[in-house]
Amino acid sequence: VTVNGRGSGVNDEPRRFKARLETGVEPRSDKTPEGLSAFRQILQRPAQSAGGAV
Amino acid sequence: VENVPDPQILNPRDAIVKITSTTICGSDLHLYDGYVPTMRSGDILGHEFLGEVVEMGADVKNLSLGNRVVVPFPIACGHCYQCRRGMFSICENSNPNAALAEKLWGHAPGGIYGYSSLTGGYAGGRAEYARVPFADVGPIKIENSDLTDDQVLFLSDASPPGTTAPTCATSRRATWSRSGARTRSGP
Repeated sequence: VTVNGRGSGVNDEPRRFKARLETGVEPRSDKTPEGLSAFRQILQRPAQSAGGAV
Repeated sequence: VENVPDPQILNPRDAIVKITSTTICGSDLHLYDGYVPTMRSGDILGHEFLGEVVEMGADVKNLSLGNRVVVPFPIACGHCYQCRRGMFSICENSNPNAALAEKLWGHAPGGIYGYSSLTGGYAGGRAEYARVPFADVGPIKIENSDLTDDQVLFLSDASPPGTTAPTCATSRRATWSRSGARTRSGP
């Protein structure tokens, strides 16, 4: 997995597809408010609300 | 104590809970002592809490504003293979950082409130408000107003392992490997 370009997409997309298919939504946490992202897994923000900065 | 932004609805299956009681769990010591990596300054901890529903996403149909709810610590989607088997703690969809946990632990748990990036990076309940994802699955409504917070708070974490342990101990289908991991065998 790389943090930019297609490398991250290879890891992200199947998980995103599965989550959307089974739950109807893409899981978002306070550290990853934009959803599944290999880039964000490496550069995490604090686990608190982004306060509208999503 | 720090001021942080109020949580927001990010998905239609989210709810916002106004916290009335929360706890410090023994498991929080693993974070404090550094046994669980990927913590960051500013993380809100707390995976056992209860409170009042003050906001809901459009797809949360089983709760109402004002409901008093205990929020179990595992975040579960309710629809994946593991959730349908009742194995909510290893939900396949609620942990956006599952790949991180798989690298470190070999498998990924589902999301957990306030318990590092490895369990999803969700803010916990040691705050005035918390966002509850998949609120149509996890929260338990407390409809008996005679019950105090102290009487129901432990439904969020301490009680489930206590009731699950005897079930595991008496299950003929469960065996324990030498490493301690639970494995399944024939009937």
